[in-house]
Amino acid sequence: MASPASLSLAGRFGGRRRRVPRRGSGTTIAAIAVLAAIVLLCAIGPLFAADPGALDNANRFAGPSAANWFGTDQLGRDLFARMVAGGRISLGIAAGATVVSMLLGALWGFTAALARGIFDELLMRLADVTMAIPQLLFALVFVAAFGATTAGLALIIGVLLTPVTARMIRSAVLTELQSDYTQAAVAYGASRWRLVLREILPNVSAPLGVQASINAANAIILEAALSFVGLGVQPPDASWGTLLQQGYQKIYQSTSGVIIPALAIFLTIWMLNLLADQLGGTDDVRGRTG
Amino acid sequence: MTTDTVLDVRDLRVAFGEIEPVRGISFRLRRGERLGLVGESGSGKSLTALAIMRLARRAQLSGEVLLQGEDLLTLKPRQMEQVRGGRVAMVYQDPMSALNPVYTVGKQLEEAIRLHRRLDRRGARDRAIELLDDVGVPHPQRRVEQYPHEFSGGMRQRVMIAMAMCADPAVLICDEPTTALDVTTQARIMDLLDRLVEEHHTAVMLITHDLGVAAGFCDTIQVMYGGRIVERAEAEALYRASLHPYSEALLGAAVDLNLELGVPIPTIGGSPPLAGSLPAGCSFHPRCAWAQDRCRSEAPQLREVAGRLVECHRADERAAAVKEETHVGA
Amino acid sequence: MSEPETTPLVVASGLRKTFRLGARETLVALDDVSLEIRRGETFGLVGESGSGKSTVSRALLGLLPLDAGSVQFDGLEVTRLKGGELRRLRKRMQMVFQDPFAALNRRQSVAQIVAAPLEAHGIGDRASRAARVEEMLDLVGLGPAYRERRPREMSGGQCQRVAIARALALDPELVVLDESVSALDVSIQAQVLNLLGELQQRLGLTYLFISHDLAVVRYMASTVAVMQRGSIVERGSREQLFRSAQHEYTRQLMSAIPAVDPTAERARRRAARTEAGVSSGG
Repeated sequence: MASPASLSLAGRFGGRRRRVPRRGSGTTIAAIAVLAAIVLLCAIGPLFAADPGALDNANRFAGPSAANWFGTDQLGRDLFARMVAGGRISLGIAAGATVVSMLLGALWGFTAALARGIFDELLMRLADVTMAIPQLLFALVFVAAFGATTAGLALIIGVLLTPVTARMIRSAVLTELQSDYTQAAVAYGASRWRLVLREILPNVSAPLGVQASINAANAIILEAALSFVGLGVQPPDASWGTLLQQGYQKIYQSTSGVIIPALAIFLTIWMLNLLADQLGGTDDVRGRTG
Repeated sequence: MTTDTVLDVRDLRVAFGEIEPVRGISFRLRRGERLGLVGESGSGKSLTALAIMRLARRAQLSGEVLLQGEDLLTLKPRQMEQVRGGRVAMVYQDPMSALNPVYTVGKQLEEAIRLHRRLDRRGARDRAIELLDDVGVPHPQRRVEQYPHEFSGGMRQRVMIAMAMCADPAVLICDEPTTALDVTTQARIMDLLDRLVEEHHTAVMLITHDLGVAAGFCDTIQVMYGGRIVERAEAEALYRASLHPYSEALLGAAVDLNLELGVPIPTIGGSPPLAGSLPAGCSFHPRCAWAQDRCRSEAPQLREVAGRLVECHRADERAAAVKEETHVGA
Repeated sequence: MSEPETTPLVVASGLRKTFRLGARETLVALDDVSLEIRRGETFGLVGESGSGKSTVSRALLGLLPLDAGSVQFDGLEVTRLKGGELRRLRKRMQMVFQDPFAALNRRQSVAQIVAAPLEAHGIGDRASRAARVEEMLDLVGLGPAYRERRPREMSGGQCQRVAIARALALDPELVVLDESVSALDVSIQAQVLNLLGELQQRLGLTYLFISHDLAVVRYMASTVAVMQRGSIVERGSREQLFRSAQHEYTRQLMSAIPAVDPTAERARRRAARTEAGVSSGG
């Protein structure tokens, strides 16, 4: 039914859309740049960093120096090298978990939104149930049951993030399904696949990007938490979470063992959240001209 | 005559940085006068109203808005709050968004009343009921207890009008008051406005895109285009023959029950300009059949031609043509 | 107008649709609605908000499952068609929506938007589709310069022209215009109305023209039906209906349309007021 209120909108708000300058696009670029720098450092770090496993008993708890940029730990291992190696694991798990959660979540969310009815109801109540239980508790159970390999952790964390993702994607798809342009596509005879791939997917890309950033940040936190309680990445491998835990045990000997992994985790999550905010806030806006 | 003037707008400009959607407009509103501000989207008509109310956010205002001799643009925000809803009130297009859904209509009316009048709760409630009755809301004693969603669109707009009239304002600005309503409801709301204005001698500025609504209500009409008033005339004179080519085009394109069937509607090409990208010279010249070289380079000024104000280089020629036509017609 | 054919293009009979509002409340959106649309004519459907006129349009296009009733398009029962058959039928009937911005995918260019129905039905190759897009844009008065624009870079009138071009790309027989000019400015509305009239003559289109604005419907439609609360209360040829409306509601609607002329408009309102005062009031 024609709502006269929406009808008059175009009259009042000007017949034209204007591209509103994207607010804070500088922030977006900065966040991406910082994240890229972190990833790059982890990627090419091993080329010039010391061997993260090399012990140096004479040089324990050393402060930052030209040889050891971040200093050394209780076994004299170079902290910079360990951070680089840990970053590869932490970020790798986060990336894996994000991909897993986005794929499963998209499948789940799209199916629920398109199927509607009892199927939708079932999927969403299932999501409610899984969301009601703390993720960390779930993770503990999974890890205890399946053990903690790096790939396993990525999968477990990815699965844990799926229900929230599915819920968000479902609601985004439902909104788009009710819009006039999808109605128009149905009216000109678009098939279901065409509707999903050509019409809806591009329009939910912004919320998908936001959710991916949030998932990545959550994956890093979950992984760190698991590793901190000793259920995550196992020695001799060390993620940022493991490093944080080890540094925490020796906090009276050296504070840099805590501060540096904590800072890395904090910085990465901050940038991811910043990115999520920016992606969420830069959808097209109808400029008011009248 | 000047003592009769309640609102005197002088060279009002509204700008957002470089972009100036309202470019220096001046007009006067007398007590009891019904002024129509008509134009299409982007013409600056709504922004003019918001600027007078000082509700245009993030806009730079210049010029003078003299309300009973006092310049509103120089008032402090606190003083302006007293003026708004007091001596100047506004009725909006969408009454639902202007009413708070979590309070009863009575409560909101009472609050509006007590902002501008010293009354206790009981007194305010009685006054609210009286006002609702006055704007034609049936069973006002019962209706004051109800929430906005329990009212139909037309009844909500009546509530908004009651709220606007509660302090007996000198000037009432109605911004597309019936655009969101059905035609049958629209007619009743316009009747109500008519009656209130007659009883209270309120000066009304009616902003509308609907030339039919303006025709039935207004004494004087100002046509806006590209942030300027391009023609100001008595309603009858304007509709009989408009001197500005844009007013003529606008009136010609309006559809009513007397429109000739089977022939294309007379219309002009193109679309209204955006505030940021106005053409040089007269802002209407790219769409104007009367445009000459002068129109493309030199912006016309609003001036008096044949008893009305027109902003067109060729207004004199057009006035002569119109005169001849009416003579031949008579 | 082309000469009347023997069979109407659209025959709808006994359409009924209810929506459940809450646990116990239901809204009867369509209550035994029947209508016939002849080939080449413009059928006007007028009513106020909530009258059910848009529900009719969606029912005719098979976009909405009905509780009861039948819709025949050129002899085919729309309500019984499923999947591929329905999609093929939709080639022959198209729709133009009210809000030109909302009806266009904001992520696509004009060329993509207009080509989308062709792609959806696998018509032509890339080159022939591009040619068709150009032809369609030309038809609605938009030059090739608009091909790469996006909806937000255009005015409401231009967007509505794109929506019309998209609707016509499949060479449909029926075009449903659901409040298609209501959101447009006065001068732009006139342009689009003229365009629609011109296109109908050139392409022999049949229109279902839905609007709340009786004056616009009068200008466009040769047959008019008036809807109120889910039912058609009056139907007839334009001449019939506007000369001597039978139903009280039709007369009410007509007397509520403002005239664009102060003298006539004031007289009309005086008359309406006294009549309202005599009958019941508000």
